[in-house]
Amino acid sequence: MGKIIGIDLGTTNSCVAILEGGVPKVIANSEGANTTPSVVGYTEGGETLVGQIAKRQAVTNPEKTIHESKRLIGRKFSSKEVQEFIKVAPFKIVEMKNGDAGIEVKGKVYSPQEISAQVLMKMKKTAEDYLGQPVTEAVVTVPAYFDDLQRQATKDAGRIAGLDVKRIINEPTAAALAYGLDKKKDMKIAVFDLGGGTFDISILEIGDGVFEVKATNGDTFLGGGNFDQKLIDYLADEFKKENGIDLRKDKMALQRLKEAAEKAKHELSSSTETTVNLPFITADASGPKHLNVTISRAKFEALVDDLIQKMVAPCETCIKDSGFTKAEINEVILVGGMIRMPKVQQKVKEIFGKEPSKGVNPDEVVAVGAAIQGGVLQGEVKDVLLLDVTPLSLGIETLGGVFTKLIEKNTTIPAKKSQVFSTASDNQTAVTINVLQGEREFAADNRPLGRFDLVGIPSAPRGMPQVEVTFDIDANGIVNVQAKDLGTGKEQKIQITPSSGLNEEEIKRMVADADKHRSEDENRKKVVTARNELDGLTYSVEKTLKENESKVDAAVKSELEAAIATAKTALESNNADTMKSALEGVQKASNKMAEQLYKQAGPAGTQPGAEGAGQAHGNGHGNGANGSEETTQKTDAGGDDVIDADFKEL
Amino acid sequence: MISDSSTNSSEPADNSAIEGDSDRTPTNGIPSPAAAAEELQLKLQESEKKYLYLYSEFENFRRRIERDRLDYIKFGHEGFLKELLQVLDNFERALAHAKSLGGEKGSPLALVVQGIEMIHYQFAEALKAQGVTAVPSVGQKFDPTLHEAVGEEESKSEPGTIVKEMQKGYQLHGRLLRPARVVVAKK
Repeated sequence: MGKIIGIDLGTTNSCVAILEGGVPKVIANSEGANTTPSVVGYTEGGETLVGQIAKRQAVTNPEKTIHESKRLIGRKFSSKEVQEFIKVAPFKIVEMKNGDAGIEVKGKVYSPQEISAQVLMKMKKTAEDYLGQPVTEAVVTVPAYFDDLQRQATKDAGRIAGLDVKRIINEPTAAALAYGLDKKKDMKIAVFDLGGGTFDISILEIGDGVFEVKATNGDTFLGGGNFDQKLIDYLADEFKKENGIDLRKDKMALQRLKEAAEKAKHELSSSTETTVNLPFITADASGPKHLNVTISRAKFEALVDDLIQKMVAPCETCIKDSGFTKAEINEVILVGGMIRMPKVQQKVKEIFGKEPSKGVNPDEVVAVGAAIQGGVLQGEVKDVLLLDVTPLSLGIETLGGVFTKLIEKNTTIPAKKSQVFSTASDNQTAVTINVLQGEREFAADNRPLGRFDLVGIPSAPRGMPQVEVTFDIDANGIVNVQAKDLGTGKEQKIQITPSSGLNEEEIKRMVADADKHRSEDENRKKVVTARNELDGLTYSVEKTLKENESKVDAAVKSELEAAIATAKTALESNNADTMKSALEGVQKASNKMAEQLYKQAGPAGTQPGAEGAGQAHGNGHGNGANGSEETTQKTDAGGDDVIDADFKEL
Repeated sequence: MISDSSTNSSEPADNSAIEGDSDRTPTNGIPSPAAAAEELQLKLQESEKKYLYLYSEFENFRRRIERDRLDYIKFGHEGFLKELLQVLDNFERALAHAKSLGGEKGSPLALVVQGIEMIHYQFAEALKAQGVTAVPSVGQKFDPTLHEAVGEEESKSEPGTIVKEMQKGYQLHGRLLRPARVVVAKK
């Protein structure tokens, strides 16, 4: 079951995309670019070059480098568009036997389908290289104004390229799909497409997933290239005024100027001013010459004003032809690189009386829409839509009232996660599992979902029992929480439907709340964590000391006792720093004790002292200084704090 | 008006539905145990198929991600390098001009130019260390995978040979960063 790829077969550039796990992905070609120039070159050596490579040799091979074949596909030789194109095309356009327009290359006549097929073949290969598997099916887009002959010719081009074109869809429709508009009911939308070389405006009506094109209009010779040219001319004219040299006459200077103008145009979309900086742009007898001009956004807008005005009439006519009023049009979506210019967006807003949508990358939106259509045909989109996410984090309450998350918010479900916890006090024989939902650091601030107890835990020092808590969310969002004593095998569980009663608003509020209280929560948590740590360490060090009193000399013993006393006082305070320094004091003293214990254990392995030391280890918690390793939960980094479940009186 | 057909149509499902059989035709509206089992079996098969496809898509996806990740590590600084090359272009233009004004050997100007040349060397070495190499052009046969033709000229050289380099081209670890802009001998 291969993938159905989506191809935007454009006049100047083409783009290919697929759905990956239900999400559209534009695929980069072998040159690393997301778009491929729709250019085909036939070399002397008999090679067929496609894309950027074909463009690079165009200057040396103008009659055999074919571009914009889309202007010819499915058209008769005698048609107006073909005749207009002949005036500017450097290659030979001829009439084929059936009256269609064709291209003559060194005596051989190619149909535009064959030329476009070369581009489609490159897009096919691009997808195959990425996927690592063959591709035989595609969805290809065409302009809404294409007639049946043009559509069939495009399908034929696909066939020649080895692609079964499952569907031909309109470019504005593809754009609407990319914006997810097919999911809304009964919409009237306008698609404003200002690309590199052409301007297209379409008005569509969507109802029950069916798209109907109501009207189209545009200007086939208005695009980003025209905007660049205005800037190039301005810069060249200014330079000529100052230096008497016309940069347009110097090929290399013109090239640099072109690139700088395009770059400046981009920058003016996000800055109000930019500097075109071209040192050593040319030279004359008096030495090298530099171009350094600052252009404001306002100046650029003034330069291209007539171009922007040209967009108004086609839009007005299209609206009229659609039969809708401006107010009836629900949404305007933007396609094509040039729409990034703020003035263009402003003009669209003026014309349609509403803010346009521009969330999807305007250069790729048509290919993305085609990929989505491919996914729908394949049934992929349907399957993936069933997956949900859990909107808020889920977890339990642990020592100190802390909320310990087990499943993070926005985790795709179904999902399962386990973690091992332990007891908070010695001889604790039951644990309470308090299940909560939310983003705050402390359980009291989150939403309780349910609680249950696991009893019958054998008496043991605190921190020793191992209770595995598992959260299991099924595809419907129902949560099963289970607690299992790994020692006895006893288990207890509870089933919850967490999202019942929570709407989108409440979820948003809880997340926002967490953000608002984040630093305050974090500080509180620091205190609690420090307290837990100090308490745990003090407890185990005290225990070790008691068990090994005889082996520890008086000096170390009194140091330890002092440190423990300081720690106990620090535990009363609510100060994380106080507790931390007390912790360090206890650790230092404990290290000295450990040193002594080991020294005694080392040389005489059979001495009672050694057994004692062994016993301390056997209990698992003798090593207070290093934190209890054995019963810590399965956390990732630096997890040597034991998280103990609270004990509630039954 | 042209209309697109529904986007929700999908291709017909697998032709694995089992035809009705007199044995299994329910007589009172309740499917027989055999029919029920059959239906469950079909559902199971379909679920297993879905799972396997999803799992294999996941595996493929994982492999692609890893491949892309290694690619980013190797070529991630491509964009930055391209910007830097433009600076290098201007640096070389400036250096060429400076050299032509060079002044006598040992003069302050000549010494400054020499210093700047050394900086240029440092710059080039830094790029080389990153895996950046210049594309050979003049004298080579024009190759659109490495060069971009900006013009043609009458020349004594063999047609198709590069006679002038207008802008240097560079590769990063063998991948083209930007093509050399050249003038080619006319046919």
